[in-house]
Amino acid sequence: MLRTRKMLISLSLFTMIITAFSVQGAGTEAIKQQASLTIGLIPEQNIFKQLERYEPLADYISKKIGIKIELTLLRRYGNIIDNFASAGMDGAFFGSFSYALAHARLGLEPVARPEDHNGRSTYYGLIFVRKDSGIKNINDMQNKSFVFVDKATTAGYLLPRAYFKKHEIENYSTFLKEAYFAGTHQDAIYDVLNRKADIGAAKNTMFYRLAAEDKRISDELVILERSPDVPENGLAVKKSLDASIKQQLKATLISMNTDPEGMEVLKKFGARRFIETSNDDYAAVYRYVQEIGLNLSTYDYINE
Amino acid sequence: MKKRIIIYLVGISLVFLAGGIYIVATIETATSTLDHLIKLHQVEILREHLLIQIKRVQADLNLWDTQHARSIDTIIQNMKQLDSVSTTCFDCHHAPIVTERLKGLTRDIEEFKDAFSRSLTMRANRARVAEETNKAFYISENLIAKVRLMVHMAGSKLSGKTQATLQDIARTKFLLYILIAITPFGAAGLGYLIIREITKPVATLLTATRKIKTGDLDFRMAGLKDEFGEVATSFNEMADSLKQNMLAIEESEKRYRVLFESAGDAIFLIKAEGEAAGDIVEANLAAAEMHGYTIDELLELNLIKDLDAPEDSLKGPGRIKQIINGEWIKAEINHIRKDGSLFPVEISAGLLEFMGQKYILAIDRDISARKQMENQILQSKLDWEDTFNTITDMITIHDKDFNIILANKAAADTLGLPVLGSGKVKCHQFYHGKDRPPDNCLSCDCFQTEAPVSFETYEPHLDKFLEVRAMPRFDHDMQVKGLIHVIRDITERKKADAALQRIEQMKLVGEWAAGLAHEIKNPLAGIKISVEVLLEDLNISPDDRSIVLRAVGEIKRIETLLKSLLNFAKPPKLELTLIDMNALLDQTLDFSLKHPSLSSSASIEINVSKDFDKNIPVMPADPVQLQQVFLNLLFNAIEAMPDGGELKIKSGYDQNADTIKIEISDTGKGIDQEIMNDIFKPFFTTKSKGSGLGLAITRRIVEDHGGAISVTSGPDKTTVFSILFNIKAGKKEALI
Repeated sequence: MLRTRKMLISLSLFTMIITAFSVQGAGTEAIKQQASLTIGLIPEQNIFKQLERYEPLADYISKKIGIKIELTLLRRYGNIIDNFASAGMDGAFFGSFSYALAHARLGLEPVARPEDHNGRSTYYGLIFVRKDSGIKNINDMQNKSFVFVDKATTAGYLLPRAYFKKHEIENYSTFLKEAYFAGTHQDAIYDVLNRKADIGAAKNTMFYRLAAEDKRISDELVILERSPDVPENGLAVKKSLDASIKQQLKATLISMNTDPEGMEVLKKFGARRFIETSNDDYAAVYRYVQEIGLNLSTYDYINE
Repeated sequence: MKKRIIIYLVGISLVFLAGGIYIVATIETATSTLDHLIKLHQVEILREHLLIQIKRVQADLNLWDTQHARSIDTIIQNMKQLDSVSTTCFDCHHAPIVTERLKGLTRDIEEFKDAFSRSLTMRANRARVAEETNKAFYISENLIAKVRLMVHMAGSKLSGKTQATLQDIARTKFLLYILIAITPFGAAGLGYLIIREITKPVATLLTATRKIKTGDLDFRMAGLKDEFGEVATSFNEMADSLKQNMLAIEESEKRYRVLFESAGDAIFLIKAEGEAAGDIVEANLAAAEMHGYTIDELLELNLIKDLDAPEDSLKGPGRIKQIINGEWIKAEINHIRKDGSLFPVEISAGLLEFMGQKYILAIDRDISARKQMENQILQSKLDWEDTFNTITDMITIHDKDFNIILANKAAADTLGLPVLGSGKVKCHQFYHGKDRPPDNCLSCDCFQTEAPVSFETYEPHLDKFLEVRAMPRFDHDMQVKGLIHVIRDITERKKADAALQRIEQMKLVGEWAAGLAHEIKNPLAGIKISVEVLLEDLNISPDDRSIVLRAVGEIKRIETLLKSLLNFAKPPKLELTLIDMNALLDQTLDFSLKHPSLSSSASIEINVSKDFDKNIPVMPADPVQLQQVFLNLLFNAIEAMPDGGELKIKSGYDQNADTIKIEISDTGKGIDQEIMNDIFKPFFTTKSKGSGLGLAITRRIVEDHGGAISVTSGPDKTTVFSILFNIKAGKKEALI
């Protein structure tokens, strides 16, 4: 039995390698023309740490597809829409909402997204306060300070917008004493923890990752609301990118978990594997945007 | 001395080793110190680099949101370089306190990165943004202050350390120069000490050996220590020993000189090799007197050429060669005196080597008197041996163990003795043919009685009658040590006596038989005539006739007997003629085989074989009488084989002895040993109708021809009659 399994795994690996090589062969011409690929990163966390997290992955892909991957970091989520063309980006790891915006504005196409060690490839947004803040519902939030992440994030902005809408607050800027954008999920969480803001919104994955390192987060913060599940931050590329390169990118990411070197990179990245992603996977985002009443083609994603 | 040199060498080695170790250690220490100093400078540079990098990132922060702001990628790159420089600090080994300080610095950098990132990404009101930016700035200021402090501390320490290190190196350099400068002088000094330690006693030893060489055996060394002291002691002992030996040699030389000069034998020392071989180098007084020269004259001569007799001089080179080959030779030769007379000398010579030259030491003894004595003794011995061997009686000299130790020629020839002295020759073996003395050995009585004994005896082993005289031999203590046999062979005398006796007996028997026959012959003739008359009577009955015929037959038998008696008593004279013995034998055999007594019993199977020697010469003999001899023997043989058997007739001739031997043998009944001696006696018969005169007449005829007849009968019943005719004796007989 064990032998049969080993044989099947070997066969699968062989098939994948053959596939990878055949794909590589087909795209030789395109690769010759494409000396490098510029991939943008959103400030999910401290931008320096964010770069450190993605650098091994970029090196791995470069090695596998034979095209240098150059990472470029964006100060803000929304900047990615503006700068995509000007910065000469070929693709970017988008948040779910920023992807939806990019898809709507630039026609980008999703390639793959990570799946965590528990098999989850989605996240959701959280609204949280300090336990000792006395804030338990919408009413308690009035005249309090609220820290968002960015206007182009699902967890860090759409969720609070949906939450306010649910409680019929049309203009949160007048309802709240202060609302500002921390820029990263990490800063949003720590601003509430460190009493720089009363209420915060951020993605659950970042919340629990930090909670695992800093016990105060789970001890001192309390969650008041959560959003629906949306796809985890994934890679999307411009529509004009050579199909073969796109295919190679997808094949490399999806087969990483079958390659010991890829496994090592995945471990540093904090994922079990990459799974194929299509625009349909973002249906939940589109639905959420619709519920809130946003128009993706006209939505002003620049932070106030 | 050896120990001292070893200690010096070990000392030098240790000094050099210590110096080497010191130099290596010093260089090592200086290198390590310099290496450490370089590392400290590197640290200082690194810290300054860190400070610059922090300032650069701080500048990025300060310029942010201005028109001079750097791109975010540049900012990130600068921050990465800051991280890299910071991480490099940890590559070095630090004291725990420094490590802790560096960890604090790293934490501060991380805090600065958080704050900087936050300033970059945050979108809030001006106050909040300013607050976060200020916070980041203060963190960077704090960082700069800390790093500046570290740079200052490192710099101040480094300055002191650099100064101290340079001083250390300068001092080390000085010491090394001193050490390198001193070492050759030190080594040279130690070398001088060692050489001085060795050469001084060696010079003393050299002086001492030169003294000894010049013959100063009383010189002694003093004042040397250690091994040289031991050598000096041994040297002094050697000098003592040399002196003692020299005295002993001088004494010995004196003794030998006296011995040489006063020796009774002539002593020569001559050259052994080359053209001068044999030249006399030294000679003593005895040599001069013996040869009639003075010593000085002898020293001008050559021993071999001038003193050896001419025939001995020729062998001189051979003797010298033997001596050179290592032999010590002894020889008797003749020497010539100055007056030309010869005299015998016994020379004893051997090789001597000294001063690289080979010499021959020859000792010559005048043996004129001894030779004369020896010749006399030898002549006496020869005379005695001649006498001893001339004696016809056998003389043997015995020891107590029955060994014959001496025998004269007569004894040796008769007894067939081997060469005496080569082994044990037991008397009983050669006299009696026995392994031990006979039980009734009369000679052996001498050993007990110690008195001479004489007797006559017949010795079967020798088939001789012997007249024996045995005399005991005594040693100096008058103890019997053996005996002397003087034995005379009296066989011939005994035979002559027996023959004479037999002749007398025959003569008596013949005369008696002739008288008796004569007396019987006449009445028997009357009886025979009377009986024959009776037979002519026609009226006699047939029964009576047969009785009368038997009486006539018996009368004829008596006549035959009487005829034999007369024949025996008065044998006819021999009618000699030259005969061929083989032809006579052949003829007689034919006659006997055709004789009616044998042909009547045709059933008897007798195989006859003849073995005649064709070389038998003719001999003078009476063929009629010899035929009677052969007929008697052949008839006896045939009669002895009533059941058949083998009859052999053999003839042979011994050229050396000039004898003819005839053998007639049968495989019949055989003859008992008891009657063997009686069968040739007259009137002895084993046959019922025999006269007992056949073999007696046969022997008489054979003996009349100068021959002899004998008989043997073995256990296999083979009986052989042997007749031996001596042709010369036969001729003699014929002449008689």
